[in-house]
Amino acid sequence: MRVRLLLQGFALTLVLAQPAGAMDDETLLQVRAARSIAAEAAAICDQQTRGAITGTYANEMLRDAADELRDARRKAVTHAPQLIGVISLALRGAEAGDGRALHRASETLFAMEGAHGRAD
Amino acid sequence: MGGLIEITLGIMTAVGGFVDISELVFAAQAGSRFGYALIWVFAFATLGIAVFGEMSGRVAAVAKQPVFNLMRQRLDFGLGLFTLIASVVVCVITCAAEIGGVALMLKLLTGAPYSLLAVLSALALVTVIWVLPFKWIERVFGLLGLLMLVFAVATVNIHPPWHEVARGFIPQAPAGLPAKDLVVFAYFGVAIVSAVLFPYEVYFYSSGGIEEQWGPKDLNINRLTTIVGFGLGSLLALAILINAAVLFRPLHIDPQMPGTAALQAAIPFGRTGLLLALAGMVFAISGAAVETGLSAAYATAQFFGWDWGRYKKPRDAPRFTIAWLATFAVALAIVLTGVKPLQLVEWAVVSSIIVLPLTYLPLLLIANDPKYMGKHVNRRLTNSLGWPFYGLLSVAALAALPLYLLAHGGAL
Repeated sequence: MRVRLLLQGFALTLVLAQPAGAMDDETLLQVRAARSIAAEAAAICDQQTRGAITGTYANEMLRDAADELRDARRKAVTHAPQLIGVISLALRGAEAGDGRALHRASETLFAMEGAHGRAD
Repeated sequence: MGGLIEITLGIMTAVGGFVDISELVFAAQAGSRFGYALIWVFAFATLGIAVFGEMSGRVAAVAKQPVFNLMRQRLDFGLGLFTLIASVVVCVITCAAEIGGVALMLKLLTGAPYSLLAVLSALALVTVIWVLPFKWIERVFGLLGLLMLVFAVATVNIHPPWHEVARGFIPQAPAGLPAKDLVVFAYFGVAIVSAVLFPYEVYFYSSGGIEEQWGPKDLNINRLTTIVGFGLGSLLALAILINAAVLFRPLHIDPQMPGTAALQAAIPFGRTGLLLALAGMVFAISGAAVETGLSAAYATAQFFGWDWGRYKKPRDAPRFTIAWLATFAVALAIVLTGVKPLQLVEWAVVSSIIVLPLTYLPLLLIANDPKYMGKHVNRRLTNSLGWPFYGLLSVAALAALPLYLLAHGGAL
């Protein structure tokens, strides 16, 4: 378990260390979509913890998010293999309703956008 | 008193029926991606739909001509036929997006399977159209769609920075955007114009005027409905944009799932807010599904000169009846292929803006023709807004497809 976490952390560090300019459109598309889905699922988990949403809504949204992330991971295999680790982290978060994992994945993906991220 | 109630109900129906799935999706994404910078585009597009909606209602009331009658008279047959085919395709795709949207919202409310809910939704919509008189079809969905006002109440509750919201009404592009994001910004601008000015809205509105046998005495109701009703309806869409800027943007959410928008009401108001938002979306999107389904049939029947209208019994307008039933059947079949409603929304907005100039040109021409309109021809103010707007729409129509491809449908 610890070895897997270490490898995951190493993979994420490698990804984050890439120069921002190196990201092509296809990868950027994948990163942005996965980042938002992870963030949406994380917000669902947060609101569920607060008791602000119904169980049905939370379950269905997390199931949809997991489906989207599964799709994203499938696409990443051919287009952006460097994203597989972080998308898998988000997918496990969505499947388990783990808001912390989803937040971590979303933040990591946001950082990966780097210079391509939003202008605030 | 009765007149006042009619006017109030008309305005409320227009407000509740204004937002459909495409506005919901684009308003939420626009707010989360670009903050308040696209508010002016919504305001601009609302001015456009008010001008052209008023014009189409006036032409229906005075000249008794719905849009596709004009098309046949004013455009060359080949160009008219092209516009008809394109419009029907757009209506069917939009209807599919709306049915998919209704099924999605119902899934979030009930947990039942999406495909089953899509079938049940389509059957329920067809039954409502079959059973209810035209006026009540409009009103049921429009008035129940007012549940979406919870989004506007949420906006007040979350205290957005109002000075920044006000600044959003000034035409602008956000400073410091990289070139790629500027392309996406332009794509969102075009998509919002398209979503607000969907051609089906004028097909439905002008055909509705004829269904309800409007005459010159109804011109004031027409003016109030289009200016006040559409204006207030647009505020609902703006509320969704502002809520997204305040609540979603800091969380790095650019909504990829239509159901995420309901969180805007859940965050300030909890479960009650969530349920009101979901129910409001079900009714508002259902109303749009009905409008698109009927609009495809109105367009076809009017172009070919068939008997049409919900005020007639189905056996007295058989081809019209078959046309709207077929529209729902094809739209449902598209939904059942598994294509995502969000994808359908993108196709619908891009294809609809290409049809828009062809829809509005005959309308502008006839609204300026004293032979048809007598003393009710366009006034100087309407023309000074209508023609420049038409020019901008034509530019947007030319830019839509390249922008869609360059911006990867706004996903870039």
